[in-house]
Amino acid sequence: MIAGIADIIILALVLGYCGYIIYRKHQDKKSGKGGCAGCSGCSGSCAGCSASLYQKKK
Amino acid sequence: MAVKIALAGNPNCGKTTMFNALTGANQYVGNWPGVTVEKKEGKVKSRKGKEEVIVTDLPGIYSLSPYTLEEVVSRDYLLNEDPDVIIDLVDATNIERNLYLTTQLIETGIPVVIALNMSDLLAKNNIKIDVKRLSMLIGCPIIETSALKGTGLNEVIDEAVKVAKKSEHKLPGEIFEEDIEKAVSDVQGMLPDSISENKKRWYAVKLLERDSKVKENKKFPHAVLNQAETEAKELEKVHDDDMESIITDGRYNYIQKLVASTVKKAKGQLTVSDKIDRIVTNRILGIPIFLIVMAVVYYISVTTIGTIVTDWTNDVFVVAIQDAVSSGLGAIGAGDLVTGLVVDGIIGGVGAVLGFVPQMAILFLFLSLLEDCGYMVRIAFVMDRIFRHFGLSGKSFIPLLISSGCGIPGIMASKTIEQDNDRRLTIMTATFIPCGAKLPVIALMGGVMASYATGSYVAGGFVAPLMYFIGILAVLVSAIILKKTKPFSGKPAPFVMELPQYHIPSAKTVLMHVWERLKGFIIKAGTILFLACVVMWFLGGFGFADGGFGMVEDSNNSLLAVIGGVIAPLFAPLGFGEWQPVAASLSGFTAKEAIVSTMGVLANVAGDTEDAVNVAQGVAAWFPTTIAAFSFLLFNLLDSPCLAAIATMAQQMQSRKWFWFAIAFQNIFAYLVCLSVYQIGSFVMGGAFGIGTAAGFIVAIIFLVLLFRPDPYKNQKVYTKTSVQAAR
Repeated sequence: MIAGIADIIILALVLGYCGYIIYRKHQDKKSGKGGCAGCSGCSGSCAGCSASLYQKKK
Repeated sequence: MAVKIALAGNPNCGKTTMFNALTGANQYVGNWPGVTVEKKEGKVKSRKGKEEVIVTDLPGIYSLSPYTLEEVVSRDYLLNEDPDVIIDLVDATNIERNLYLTTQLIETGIPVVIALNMSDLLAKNNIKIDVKRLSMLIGCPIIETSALKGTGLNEVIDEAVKVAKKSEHKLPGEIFEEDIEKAVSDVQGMLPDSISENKKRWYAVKLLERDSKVKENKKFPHAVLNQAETEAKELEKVHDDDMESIITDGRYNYIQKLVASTVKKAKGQLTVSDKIDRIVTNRILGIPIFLIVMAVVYYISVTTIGTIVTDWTNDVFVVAIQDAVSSGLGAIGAGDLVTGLVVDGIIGGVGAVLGFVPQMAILFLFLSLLEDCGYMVRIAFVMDRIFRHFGLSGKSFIPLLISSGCGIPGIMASKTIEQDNDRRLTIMTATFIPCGAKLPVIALMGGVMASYATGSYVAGGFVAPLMYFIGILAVLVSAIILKKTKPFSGKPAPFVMELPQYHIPSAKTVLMHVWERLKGFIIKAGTILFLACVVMWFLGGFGFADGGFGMVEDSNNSLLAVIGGVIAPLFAPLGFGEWQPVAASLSGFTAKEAIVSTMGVLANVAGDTEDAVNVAQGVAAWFPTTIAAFSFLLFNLLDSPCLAAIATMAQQMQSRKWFWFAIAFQNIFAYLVCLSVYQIGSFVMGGAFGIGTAAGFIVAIIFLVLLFRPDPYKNQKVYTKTSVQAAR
């Protein structure tokens, strides 16, 4: 059971951060940066995936 | 007003190195075509008191034909965005091949300055170039540069600015034989005035070549199109060849004359790269060397150095953080639910993945070294010989190589494959190669398997290279099976590639590359995996018990157990019929690392020793035998990749039918392979013969029949769309 103020604050922070992550991913997808969860193995540059951006912009 | 410079050149000629050096931007430098698809811009630094210069780094291309996206991107930019000048980077050690693009760049009518790059390697390769004479013959200024050493860069920019500021520019000169030049001139004369004078030659040549994209993008009067067609047919009759080949031959004849009078090579002398390639790309030694190199790389990354650093990281970071946070939360009066969420769910889950960062860093370091020195690109050449036997070309191996980092750019790289059937096959099988995200899963399950075999969790180092080779084997098996079906039949396309010179890896480039990859991994752990851990902790800790909904003591009563339990019986024949591994596999669709973080959450790891080891100890209970653990690992290697990669597959397939076929193929293939491996493996290791065992043998026999049956389409010709059209 949720007990004190500390629990409420921590839960709010965790759930708030989760909501922020979902919001950012949605915004990224809308602006055309989406489609990638942040590859852990790629070079960090989106150059290899960027053709999709070029096509969309065209 | 700023001077706009376009930086063009073949792949691997040092373009991005020069761009980085000129602009100070951090760009990734790779060694295979297609790694830079997006154009990048930057201001040239150190231009105080001088005019501003903006450089655009175009993708590495061999020509301005309309066949690949890189070529289309480059020529669209050159024709529509009108840079003031082009700096054409020419690899001085491969001048003949590089000048082919130069002749086309000159034809665009934009002034060209040639940067003769890698000129510091000329003496080493026993090549002498008469730069003054070459410049006079080709009609462009030439500056000798070394992008790696930073020499000649200011001079080439100053020359480019000088050329850009000239009020008059020469029109592109004639390079073909008389009859071809007459045809070009005739078509040129009929072009409308809406096309600027300096560009008319380029359009005339493209119309003669029947360039489809030029005709699509610009409306030409019928008279012009008819004239071009008439001239083309006449030339084809005389030369007994198609127009594209006639023009190509014409360019190379011109280049050969240039090179004959300006380039002197010492005969019979092999360069250092040639000497190394005699061994590395040797017909017999090439494959064994590749196998040994990759085995050593993965073994050292996952065990020895990798494990030592990973264990140290876990002891210092994860466990210490868990203890500290637990104490801290207790001190501020946080309840059990919140403490469980933060310590077991978030730190336990994310920490289980972050514990593998050292191993991944070492793996990325090795892969970057191999890439930067020039070896990785040779693997595509070596594998071409093997792949051709199975109906694929080495061009299909490049996406697989890229997929060993991440499946998404690997799938994107398949667009360089012109044939539809081979491209579809490559997209479907690219993710069989273990990506960076799967490495924590391999390391974890390798530890579990090693514990059964040797009693020690840290002896699982051989599992990583084994999974890499199994991935390649899965691609080949899929290729053999599918190539014998009508939609995938056809001979592989010829594979021509340029092997860059070997060079000592640049420490800065390698470390930058490693950091970029690690940064992506850590950011992913802090975002997607964080979210997945919170969701999994909730689903694994809450459920319906004692008539109500709330936190459950026994995770077997949790929501996750219900969800996983529905599907788990399907996986019992594969050796992992518990709900925990099934739930972990499902979570892998968000990100493959989530398999480890979910297992970390479900195993409720909260020890004070090696966290990774504790996770392995925790999950071992779900896999009663080594073969069951191996089956789980194999399934997660071969099944559909993460959702982001699935979305990329959908985009690249360009067909809903083929997309769903690919998903079905990957999952059915994974299921049947694991069924066969687990059932036959269990029987061989002393298990009883049952229905499952019979099913395993039947599946194995079906695979063998599909592999060894005669190819009914052996001599069929396949005509397919080009990759640019298909990728739209």
